[in-house]
Amino acid sequence: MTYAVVAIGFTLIYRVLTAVNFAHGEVYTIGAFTILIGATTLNLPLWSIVPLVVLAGALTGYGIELAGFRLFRRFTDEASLKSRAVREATLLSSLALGIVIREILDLIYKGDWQSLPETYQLSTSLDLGGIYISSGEAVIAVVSIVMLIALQLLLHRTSIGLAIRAVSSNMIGAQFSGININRVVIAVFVIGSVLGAVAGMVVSLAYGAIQSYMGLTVVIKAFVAMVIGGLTSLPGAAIAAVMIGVAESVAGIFLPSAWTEMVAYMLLIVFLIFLPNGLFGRRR
Amino acid sequence: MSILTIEGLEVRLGQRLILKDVSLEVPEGGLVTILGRNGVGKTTLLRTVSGLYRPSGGRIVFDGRDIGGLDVDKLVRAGIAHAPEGRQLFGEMSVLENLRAGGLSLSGAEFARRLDEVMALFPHIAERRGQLAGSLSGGEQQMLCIGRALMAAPRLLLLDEPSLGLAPIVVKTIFALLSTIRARGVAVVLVEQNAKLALDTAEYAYVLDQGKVVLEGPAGELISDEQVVSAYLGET
Repeated sequence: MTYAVVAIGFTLIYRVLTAVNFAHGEVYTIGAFTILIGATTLNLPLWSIVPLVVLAGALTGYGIELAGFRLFRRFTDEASLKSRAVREATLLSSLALGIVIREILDLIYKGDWQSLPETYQLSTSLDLGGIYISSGEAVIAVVSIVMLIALQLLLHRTSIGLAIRAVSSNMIGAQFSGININRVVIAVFVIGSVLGAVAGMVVSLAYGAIQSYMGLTVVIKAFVAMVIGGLTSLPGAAIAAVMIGVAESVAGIFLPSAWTEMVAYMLLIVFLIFLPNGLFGRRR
Repeated sequence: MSILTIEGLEVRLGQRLILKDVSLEVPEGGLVTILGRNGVGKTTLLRTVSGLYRPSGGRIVFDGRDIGGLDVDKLVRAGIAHAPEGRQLFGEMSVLENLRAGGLSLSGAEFARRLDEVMALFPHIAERRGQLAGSLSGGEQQMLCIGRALMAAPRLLLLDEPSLGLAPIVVKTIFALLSTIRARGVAVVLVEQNAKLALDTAEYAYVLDQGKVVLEGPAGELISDEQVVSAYLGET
């Protein structure tokens, strides 16, 4: 479920821009660190940290769009908006931004695992008719489902959602319809990054451990989940992410833990060979 | 009184000089056509008027205001709508959603009124409001494209190759609608490959060659000048 909650925001950004935002992992990390700082340095109660996490996510998303993506979107015709050059440039610029954020956090916290005070952790054990899960894991599951539903409602029931889908479908057509592309892209980054930061928050509440590199493996898994899910399908990415998570924990029973890292990529290879369009991908 | 005046327009795309010195005028509620062979800059001209490209020289005056360099979304709000070449519809969205996207800048009440108007203009499209835009026939897509442009309540409609790839009967229907659109006070700039059709429909015509206006005149005079037609417009 951890991967699902990250994959949703990541896939939203890809769906609209056809650009991979590798800095998304650091948005997740920033969400986690916001909780840490709020809990340890500022001693705030949990309910008051949540809006701070949302704010941190929104600001980081806006910053990533300005620094990593806007600069490469200078021209407005179709030749340049979705061109390979732009896609590759933003892939690298977002990767670079991610590294910068990661290393700054690393400098401050020396790469050590920080632990969240016990009172903040959601680790009560819940009994679901014989199956025990921790309250934190339940929260992650609920949050990802709520995110998915909220996002679908936003995309299909509101005018900003209509504008987002229009931009995602045809940028030229969207411009001629009077839609301000930059404003829509900012909205997408802000929404996607708020989701990413909230993901970082709930995961750290569930497991209590926070580190500057925590976003890196997760964003790569989110990327794999997005590809398996069909690149542009939000539910597809979430389902694929759950699949990866389950496959990894099942593999953990049989294989040494160092090998479980391989499972996601094995799944990816299997999908690329036998189902290259992914679970819900459109044929292209 | 002209709704659109272009003076000495120059447009560069990258290193290439696409439009060198284009001047033209569109009277309020008029229908002006721009003709010329492939690649002479007709589409570039329309895209510059609608704000997608920035001019590197000259002036574009719309409704008494210099609009060179304004962004597309502002110009749509100001009253310039563009039904682009290739239609550029939102294929995986429904017909109704395409129209709604075209009218996003309107208030609720105005939007509803506008939608009724466009639906009345294109009853064909109205019947298919729930269908995906990508599943429509070419003619229906072209109508939807014009409908989407009209949703923004424009005073100037830029039409780029509306007849492209359509059967003659469908083209006839679409061109017949142009007079209805003009009757509502919307001026039209028409870019067409089919010169005869364009000259039959328009009042005034400009012929573009290598980024310049090489010829202009009332459409009726140009069409009777056989030499001109064959020299700049080919066999059509």
